[in-house]
Amino acid sequence: MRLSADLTLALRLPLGKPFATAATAGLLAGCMGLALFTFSFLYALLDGEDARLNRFLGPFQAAIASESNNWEVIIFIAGNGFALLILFLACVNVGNLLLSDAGKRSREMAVQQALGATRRQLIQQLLWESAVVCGFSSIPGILAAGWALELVNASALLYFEEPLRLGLPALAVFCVLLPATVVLAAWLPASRLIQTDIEEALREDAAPPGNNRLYGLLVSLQVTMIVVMVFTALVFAMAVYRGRGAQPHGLPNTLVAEFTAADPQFIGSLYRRLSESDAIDDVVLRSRIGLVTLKGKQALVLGYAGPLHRLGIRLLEGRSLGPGDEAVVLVNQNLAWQLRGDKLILGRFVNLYNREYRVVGRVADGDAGAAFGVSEQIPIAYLPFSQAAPSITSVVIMHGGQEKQAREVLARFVDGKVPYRVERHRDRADFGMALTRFGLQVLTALGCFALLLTMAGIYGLTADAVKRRDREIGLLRALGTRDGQVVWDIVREGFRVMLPGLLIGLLSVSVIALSLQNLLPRSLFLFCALATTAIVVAVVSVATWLPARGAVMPEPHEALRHL
Amino acid sequence: MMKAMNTSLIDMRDIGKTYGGRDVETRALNGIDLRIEKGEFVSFTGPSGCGKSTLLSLIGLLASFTSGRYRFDGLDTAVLDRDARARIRNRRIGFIFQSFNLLSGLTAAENVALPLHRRGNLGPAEIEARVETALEKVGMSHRRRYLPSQLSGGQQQRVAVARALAGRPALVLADEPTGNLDSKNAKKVTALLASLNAEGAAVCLVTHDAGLAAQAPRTVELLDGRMVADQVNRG
Ligand SMILES: Nc1ncnc2c1ncn2[C@@H]1O[C@H](COP(=O)(O)OP(=O)(O)O)[C@@H](O)[C@H]1O
Ligand SMILES: [Mg+2]
Repeated sequence: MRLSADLTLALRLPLGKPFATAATAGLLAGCMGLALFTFSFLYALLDGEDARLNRFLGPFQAAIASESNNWEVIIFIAGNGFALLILFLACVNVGNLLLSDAGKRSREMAVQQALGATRRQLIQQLLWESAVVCGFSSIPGILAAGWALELVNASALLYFEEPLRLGLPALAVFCVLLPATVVLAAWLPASRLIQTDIEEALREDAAPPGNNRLYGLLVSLQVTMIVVMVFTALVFAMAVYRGRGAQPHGLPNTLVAEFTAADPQFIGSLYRRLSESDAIDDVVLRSRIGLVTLKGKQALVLGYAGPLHRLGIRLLEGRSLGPGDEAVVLVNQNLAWQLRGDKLILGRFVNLYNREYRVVGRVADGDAGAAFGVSEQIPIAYLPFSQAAPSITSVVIMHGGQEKQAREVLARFVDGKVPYRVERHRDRADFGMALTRFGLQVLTALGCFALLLTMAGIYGLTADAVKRRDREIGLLRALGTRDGQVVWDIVREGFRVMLPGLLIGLLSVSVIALSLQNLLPRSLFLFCALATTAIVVAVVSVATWLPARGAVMPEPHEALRHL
Repeated sequence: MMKAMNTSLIDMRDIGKTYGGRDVETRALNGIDLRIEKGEFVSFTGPSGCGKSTLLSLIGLLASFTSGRYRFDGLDTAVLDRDARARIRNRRIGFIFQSFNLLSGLTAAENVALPLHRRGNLGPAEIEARVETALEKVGMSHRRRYLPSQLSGGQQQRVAVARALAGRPALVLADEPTGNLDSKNAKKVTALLASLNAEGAAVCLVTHDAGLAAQAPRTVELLDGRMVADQVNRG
């Protein structure tokens, strides 16, 4: 019975404001859908071909430890972080909207307290109210997330082995998010409406409740969050279009022929014949042998033959592999680091598949892996191709512009003995990077969305603060203060309040910049920081200027009439 | 030994209340000695700003005093925490405000039921019955499903009276309950207060209206935060 009374009340109060409630619920639904979609999408991104490789913690540590960045993991963390921050911003907005008409509502709360409601009962009531709004929002939110995933499934650009769905992990996340959202959204109105001084709030001439400290805190918090998000989104966007790593590193004049389960003997003879052909410049064999655990971390083992540097993988020290090599191995930079032997790695032995391999060379982390469907920014051991068991083998053919001829040569040598598929290296790289690039674009879009939400949030908070000063502003104007002065005072107050947020934000940003430092050249980081500051300042200006403008719109006597 | 039955409902000794601003202090009440027995009807008068509302807030445990001692039905209020005060307000005290203060989202009946729900120990049938009786007493049962915005001022105040009496309080506090009403409605509300009192509740009524105040068996007059008269009216 108590429950149904609380629920009735919770339903009645917001339903008295159907428009605001609908707007609130819609906003929250969008954000909740976004959070769920982002999580599911990014989870699937992690769960691709290298699922075992990419299981969370290992690559996370590797991404931090290695000199290069593991995109999937960075995007996963950043994307979900963004989604959560956006949800938080939405909660502030929901709280704001629940607070609309704060004067009347706080008086009603005071009346209830006078009639003997305890604070716990009132907080309970606000929680119910928040639960009603959030509960209603979650249904369209889930639907929206589901549809967005369908949309990604339907898009030809992105390919997942399993169609994307709202699976158990997403559901688990949702079960945590919903109650957190309810509590967070109720917190703002609770802290504002349930006043300690009942008598004061009950006075016939009581002013709407004010709390400048809370206004400052919320504006600051939003500014901090938005600085971090805009900066990160900018860095990512820059990295996609300017930097290295997320660019498709397709090689020109290069074909990739993929053989599934071909006999190594056959591939070996094909390799020799191709190398000797005049129509073809160079051939590199690359086969995937498997995954091993080295020093507790997973490493990819590849077999290869041919000039590795033609795939953009530079030799840093030691020698490359050649014909006749057997129990030797090349390690990439990442693996070298894992083995804690940066300087002394040459000559060490690595145990792979119960056999000791001597390290003869160290190579840079490659960029070309996208064409083979993996990231090369992970620990990799390169074995001589002769060690490869039958598996997927890519024959990389550099042809110097005679593509048609090279295809014909290849077809002649294979002679229909085994099935294969041949594609341009460029196209494969493009396809391989599409997902990562799309993920980065989603992050950028999230950043823009968050910017809008913050604008709405700060606008709401400022409008609320200005409304409380309605009479005071009317009086100031009646006494001859220029409108421009009043507007400037309000905007300046907004800036004063946002300054700590900006500073803390920029501080966090420099930490982020450090951890992402090899995504971009240093000067571009500086540019991103400056651009972020400019964008945030612009957003805060607009968000405070609009309500300030609104405050000086009516004739002064209208505001004073309420006196 | 004094029996609990003999304790006054309200027993204030040398109560003072100061509103503290940072630089301005307002002495709203000073040296108030006031005893009100169960079932009494007391009216409070005095010029605007003399401290009537403040005194009523103190009596109703809505605000705390700065000096003195206040026993409510034998209970020292200084030791009560917020929740204990809320409980007493909920079970023992009924409030009637000048501006009605009904919750705008709830119907007349729901407004009357709300404090009963908060009480936590009444069943739905009991609440239902009490709401019905209370609305009947104030002649508003035919408007039970109306929202406050659909009621006239006089009707809203009658619903507010129903809300106060549904809890069967020992004390009803009314701060200028007729201040926003025309004389016809004011009479109705005053009559309701009188009948509440006849059923055993003590009533404290703040009013500007000297005529109205004189109808009460006892009148307390305040001036500048002090009690300047406390007289029993005959006839
Ligand atoms: N919250 C407050 N802060 C400061 N002074 C107050 C406050 N509330 C009331 N006062 C002052 O206390 C005095 C008594 O007020 P009040 O009890 O409302 O008088 P009345 O109801 O008799 O008109 C007045 O001088 C008033 O200005
Ligand atoms: Mg008063």
